[in-house]
Amino acid sequence: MLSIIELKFRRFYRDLINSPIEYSIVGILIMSGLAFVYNQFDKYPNTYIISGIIIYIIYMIHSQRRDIAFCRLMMKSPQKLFIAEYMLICLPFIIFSLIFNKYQILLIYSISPIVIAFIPRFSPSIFLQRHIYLFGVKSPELVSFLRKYYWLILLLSIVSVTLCFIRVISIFILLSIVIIMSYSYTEYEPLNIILLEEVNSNRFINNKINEGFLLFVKLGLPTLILYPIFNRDTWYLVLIAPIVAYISIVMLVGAKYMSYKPNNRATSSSVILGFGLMGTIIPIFLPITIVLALLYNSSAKENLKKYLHVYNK
Amino acid sequence: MFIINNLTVKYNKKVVLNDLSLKLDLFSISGIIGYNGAGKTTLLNAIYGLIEVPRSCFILNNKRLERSDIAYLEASNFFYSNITGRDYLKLFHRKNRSFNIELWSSIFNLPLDKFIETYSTGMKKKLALLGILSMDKQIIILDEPFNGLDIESVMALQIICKKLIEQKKTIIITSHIIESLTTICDSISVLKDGVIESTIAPAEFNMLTENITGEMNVKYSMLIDEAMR
Repeated sequence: MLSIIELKFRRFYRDLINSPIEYSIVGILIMSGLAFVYNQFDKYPNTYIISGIIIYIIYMIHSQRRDIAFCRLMMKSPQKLFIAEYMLICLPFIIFSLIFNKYQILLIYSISPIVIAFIPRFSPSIFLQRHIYLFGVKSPELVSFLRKYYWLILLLSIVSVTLCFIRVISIFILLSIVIIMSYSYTEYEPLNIILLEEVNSNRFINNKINEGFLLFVKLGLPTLILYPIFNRDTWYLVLIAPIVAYISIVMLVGAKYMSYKPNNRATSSSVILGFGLMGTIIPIFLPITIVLALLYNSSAKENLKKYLHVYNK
Repeated sequence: MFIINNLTVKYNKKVVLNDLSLKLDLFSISGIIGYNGAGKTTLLNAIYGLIEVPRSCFILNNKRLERSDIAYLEASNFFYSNITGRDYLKLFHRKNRSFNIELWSSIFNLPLDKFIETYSTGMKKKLALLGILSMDKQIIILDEPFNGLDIESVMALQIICKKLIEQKKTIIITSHIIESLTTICDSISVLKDGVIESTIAPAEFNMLTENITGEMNVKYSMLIDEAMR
């Protein structure tokens, strides 16, 4: 187990050395984030919200692991490795809990990595097929996304609806669905599938954006209806969700197709895109999302002209 | 007639296809063979337009060949995760309602309601092939279609190719296995060092096989003997 952890640290170190600028920015952001968490740790209820977000991030990391087969091959119980890794992520927060005498939070950070490490990987079920078509989704990437994250999205939608009576929270939860949606835009389809649409690049991109946006609206419809009813003084805040979601989807679709090459994985800079995605739930980053959406959208339309030139006449 | 005129493809400074010209009969099966790195896939990618080359290099019946005239089965096939075989074929079915998904999939014994990631390599190839066939295009390009297929499916594919010719389709096909081409092709072009070295008619297929086998024997026998010593 130690040799695998050492291997991962070596890889991380190599990445750090090879692209100093991007990783320096990420390093500074992590340090700033930790400083912010330290600053907020003693304040109720922020400390609970932060721990909830951290546990959620760890679960997302666990559910998206691609090395499970490798770990199973190398060790009898890979869960030990997962626990060690997740504990390392939690370590700063465990230290903060001790400094501020927050023993309940300490317990959460100590137990959650163990629980998460044992959560089996959700395997999408064929039985979900019918439910998915209820959403009227036709794009294969969105069908794939819904199958993979059906239960997580359902859970987020339910939490979002049940917290409608609290200001803003449910809107943030709803917007986190867009972050999960970014999974759909990480693989390039074969050219045959793109050509099937028989439309020019402008219409192709617009169709993709509209379909993603419509899916978001369908998933968030109960919250979008209930929020203004429970929050009459701040009803207009409900408009933020679809607007920000639309901008983010424009950015995600643009990021995918601006560097489209048939049969490859998306190659747009994941660090820059990460900042753009943060704008979906952290308002301070929203200007980056807007700028990226505009830039990526026009580049994507230009790039696809190469492949859809027959329909661009 | 489908004509390729003076096609040159370079990757950085390396010339992969060097002023290549080729004439292929319509409504026929044209095979292309060559060693690894000879430029077979590059040639097919160029025809389909995956590589930027002047489209004026490709003439179909005195007109410029458009990508919309072509269905292309690539050597490696990509599928989204968590998608069933039926989901995949439905994508194509929207454009060609006359394509009978059930009937075609029964030819290749495909479990359409299972996720594609559970399919074997051969099954994925067959599924991609069905997608291509359902497109009903005039020119069908098949890059290494026999890779990963079992004997039964190879024979089924050979029969399909022959039937497609009867339906006025033109097929361009590559394979590493000469025998799979000699049984169905109306001509085989040998690609070497970025140019078409020769185009051979069925009467000369036996000679082609013997030449290649002889060449390989001379080239590798001594080396292998030495390595095994």
